[in-house]
Amino acid sequence: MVQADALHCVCSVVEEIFEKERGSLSGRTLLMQDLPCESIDLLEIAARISQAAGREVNDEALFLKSLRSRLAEEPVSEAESLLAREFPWLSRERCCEILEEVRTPLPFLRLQDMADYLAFLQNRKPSCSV
Amino acid sequence: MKLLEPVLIRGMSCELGQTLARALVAEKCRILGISRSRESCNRLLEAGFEAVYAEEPEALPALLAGTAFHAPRAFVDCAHSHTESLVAALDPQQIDRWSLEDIATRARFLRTVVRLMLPGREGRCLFISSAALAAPARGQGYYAAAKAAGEALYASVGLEMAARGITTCSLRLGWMDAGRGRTYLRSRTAGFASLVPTGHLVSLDEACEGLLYLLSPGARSINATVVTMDGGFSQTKPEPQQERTAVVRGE
Repeated sequence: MVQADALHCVCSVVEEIFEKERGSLSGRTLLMQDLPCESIDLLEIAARISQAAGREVNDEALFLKSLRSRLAEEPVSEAESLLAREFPWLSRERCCEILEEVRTPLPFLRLQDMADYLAFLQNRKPSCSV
Repeated sequence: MKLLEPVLIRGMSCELGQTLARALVAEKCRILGISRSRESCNRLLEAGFEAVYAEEPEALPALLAGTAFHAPRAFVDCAHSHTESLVAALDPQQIDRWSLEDIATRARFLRTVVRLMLPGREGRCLFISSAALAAPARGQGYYAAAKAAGEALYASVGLEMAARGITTCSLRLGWMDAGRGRTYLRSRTAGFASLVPTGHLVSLDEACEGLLYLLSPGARSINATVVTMDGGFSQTKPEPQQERTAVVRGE
């Protein structure tokens, strides 16, 4: 699965669940900020993406659930290498962006993050340079 | 009767599971047995049913991909514990195995099936429970505890997922002249049927007809709850008839 297909899959699923117009969401959409997303929505998103992928996705990875807590456990100097090691589907640029975004308590997950994980899962290799 | 299908049945190799499977086939439902052992899977296949072997519940999505069963609309969990022992007598390792097989695995199957149902926003999950939960015989402590855990899990799923079209119900069956109940009842000479207000034990046909109704769209509002099918036995007050008669005569 190429990244464009993965992004199309993620956007379509999210648009359908939140009854948004086709093509109204993009990789830059913030799932928990731009949409009225609740825990049951996360469950349905994961279930639909699993169905589309034909295999079960890992919710923790798909939604980067443990990223913030993992960063809190490591020294700041180790943050970049931690992201590269534990979240290999995120590009180096995205990792730098996330390190800035986690300075605030606001949710940072973007649809592109989910798409990158999905492409990574399907290809079973890093889909972007880290 | 219109029923929600396709149906996944866990623990289908038991007598109730197979009888239900035949009843569902007679209603033109597509059914699939899910087995955690190759032996029981082979038994189902030899009996003419469709079945898959899934040791790990999480393997189901990949196993069912591309089939109608990848989007099930009903799930019946007939699997039950084989652990019978006085609570304080069971080996610690066996307790760990019991909790893994009879509680954790049930939760994992339920989790997996609910996730398969979610994209279709419609589903019905039924759990076969037992009257032993409320009144266990000696040696049924682990069995009763597993049933209690199952009922709690199913009730929670019914509450959490009803807004997405997925409902649940546990069917608490009383004494049955089938499966392990038959063995127990026939090992004792007392007339158990006479203790049941209806005058008979729950039959396989009655249990299946109840399950078929619970799998019909009209039963969806029976959600996150327990239906007891025991002929009214659980509502009776124990009456030591022999002693009472003796007292009356004494008077």
